[in-house]
Amino acid sequence: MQRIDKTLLLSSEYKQWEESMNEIHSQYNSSNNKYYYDVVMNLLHCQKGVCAYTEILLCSDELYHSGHWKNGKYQIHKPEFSGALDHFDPSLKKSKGWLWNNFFIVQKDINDKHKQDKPVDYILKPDSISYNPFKLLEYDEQLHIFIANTDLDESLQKRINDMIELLGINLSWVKTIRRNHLRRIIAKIQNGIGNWQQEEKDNEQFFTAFAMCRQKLQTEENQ
Amino acid sequence: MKVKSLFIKDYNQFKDFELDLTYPAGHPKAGQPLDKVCIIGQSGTGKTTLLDKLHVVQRTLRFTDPNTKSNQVNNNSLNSTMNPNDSDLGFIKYINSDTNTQATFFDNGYFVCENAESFSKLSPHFMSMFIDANTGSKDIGKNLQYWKDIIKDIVAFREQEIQRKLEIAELITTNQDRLQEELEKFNEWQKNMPNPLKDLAENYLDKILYRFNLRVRQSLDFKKTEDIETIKIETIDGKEVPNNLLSTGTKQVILTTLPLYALKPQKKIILFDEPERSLYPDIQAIIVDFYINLTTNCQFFFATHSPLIASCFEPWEIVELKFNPDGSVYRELYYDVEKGNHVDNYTIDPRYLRWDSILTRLFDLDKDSNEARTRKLMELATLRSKLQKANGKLSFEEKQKLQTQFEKLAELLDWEYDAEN
Repeated sequence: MQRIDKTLLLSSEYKQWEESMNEIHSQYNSSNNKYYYDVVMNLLHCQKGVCAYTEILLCSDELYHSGHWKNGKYQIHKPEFSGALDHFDPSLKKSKGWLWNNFFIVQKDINDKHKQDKPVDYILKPDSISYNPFKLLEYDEQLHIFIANTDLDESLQKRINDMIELLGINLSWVKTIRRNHLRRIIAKIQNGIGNWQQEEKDNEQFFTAFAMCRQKLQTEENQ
Repeated sequence: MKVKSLFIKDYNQFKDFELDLTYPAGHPKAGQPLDKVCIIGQSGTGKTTLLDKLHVVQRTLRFTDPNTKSNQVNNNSLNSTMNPNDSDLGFIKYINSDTNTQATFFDNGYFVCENAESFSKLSPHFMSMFIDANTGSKDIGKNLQYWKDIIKDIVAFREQEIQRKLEIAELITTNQDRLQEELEKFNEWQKNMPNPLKDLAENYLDKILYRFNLRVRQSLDFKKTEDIETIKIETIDGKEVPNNLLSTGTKQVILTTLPLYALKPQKKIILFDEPERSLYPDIQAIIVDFYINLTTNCQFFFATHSPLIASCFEPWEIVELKFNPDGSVYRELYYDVEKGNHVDNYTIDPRYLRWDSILTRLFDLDKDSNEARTRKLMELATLRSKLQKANGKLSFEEKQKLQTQFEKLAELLDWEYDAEN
């Protein structure tokens, strides 16, 4: 799960509207809100087109590049993407349903079927300043799953592992897609028809797992 | 006759639904009707409905040719000539592979043949046979469909056998001189007379019953007259198993095989709903071949939920039904549509997949295991990571302890070292 920088606000009209609301936001209703696509596409821009938690590709960059915003509004009518708007902390959904800081765009099944309204631990909030995947996480390149960094103390590891589970990062189908994606890349490199630099440039998803695999395999090669 | 294609104009969830049931380009049988078809899909997608559509029975048939008007055909209410390519009606297209004759059966009950071939002569070949594996509480006996056909030859054979044995028994007391001669005649008779029970046992049921440690009792064994009008099952070591004590799976196999024994179908269309019912996975994996080998040049349609059954089919033989957002259904194609229906363009082949891959790739199961496994895999990865970082940090004993934990968990997870998991 990459760190997400949400400071680049392309949908400034939505942000003004969000800030203009008092303590209690107007009721959250995704299908009925004029700022829904402004939020979604701005998030996809910040998230580089992938699910905030699993890093599965959700949208082509042709749809979220900054040229599609005019006067703080996203311009394409009903753009195609496969994802859902997730309230990271579901307890805020009722009173702060439109809070930018609490939004991520995620793979639909992660939102609808897996994470749902379970309580979260902010230790793995991908836009938090303190979140650094390379300090908190490890990637097992054989099992193709993320775990907490085993250098951290046990209680912290447990909190992180609980959140990895809650965010669906290691769900079996996610793991299978990630494993197949990375194996293809690694096989290309090992067969001499690709290199890490070019593959990184072309890679559209699973950035963190890619980077961790690369680090590990290149270290092994140099040993 | 074999079904070549099917079109349903508008029936329940089927709207303008078309199925091409021929082998794709690049296949040795390209263009010919499929020998077997496996229909899969979520409950409600219409697997059984498709079987029902294909279940053409004698009483529904009205034959005509493209130039015949209704008043010439049995005074039926056909107002115009039937066009075999008419898509205002649903239809099934057939081909007779021997003569290459084509025919179309419409939803309104008309069969249209492309030439003047005798329709009545063709009619038995359009008839399909429906076998339902939901044998429930049925028993092996006279209430079964085809029972008369099944038992007729067996009873006739047994009656003759009993008669001859009685005659020999009488000679023991009356005419010892002829006894040896009659015994030889009896042995000769046994050798030359086709024994239907032996046929049923050795060529049909025992081929599968041995997997349950059972077989058909071939020895003449009766205490009452009804005994000769039934089929008895015994254990491999000869102990009779009464019909009411046979397991559901055993009964299912017997009751679905008996119609094939009775009719000895040739060039027929055989429809089979849920062949996996009550069967253990090892039997499911072989049951398709078992049934097919009991018939001659038939076309089979199986509707199933079993990945093991599906693994017996070539990818073009799988009809996977899926829901459209509007609730109608479509067939999921396993080839790249832009490149065309050619064997080289198929991206899924159930014969080459592991069972779990069939579940995820064909049956769209979004998990490859229970999610409890994921947490255990995380534990395994944690142990692996600790072991990799252990040098210089942990004592030999501590490392050994971690290694033991790792191996124990790896075994529990059936995790193969350096292999796909």
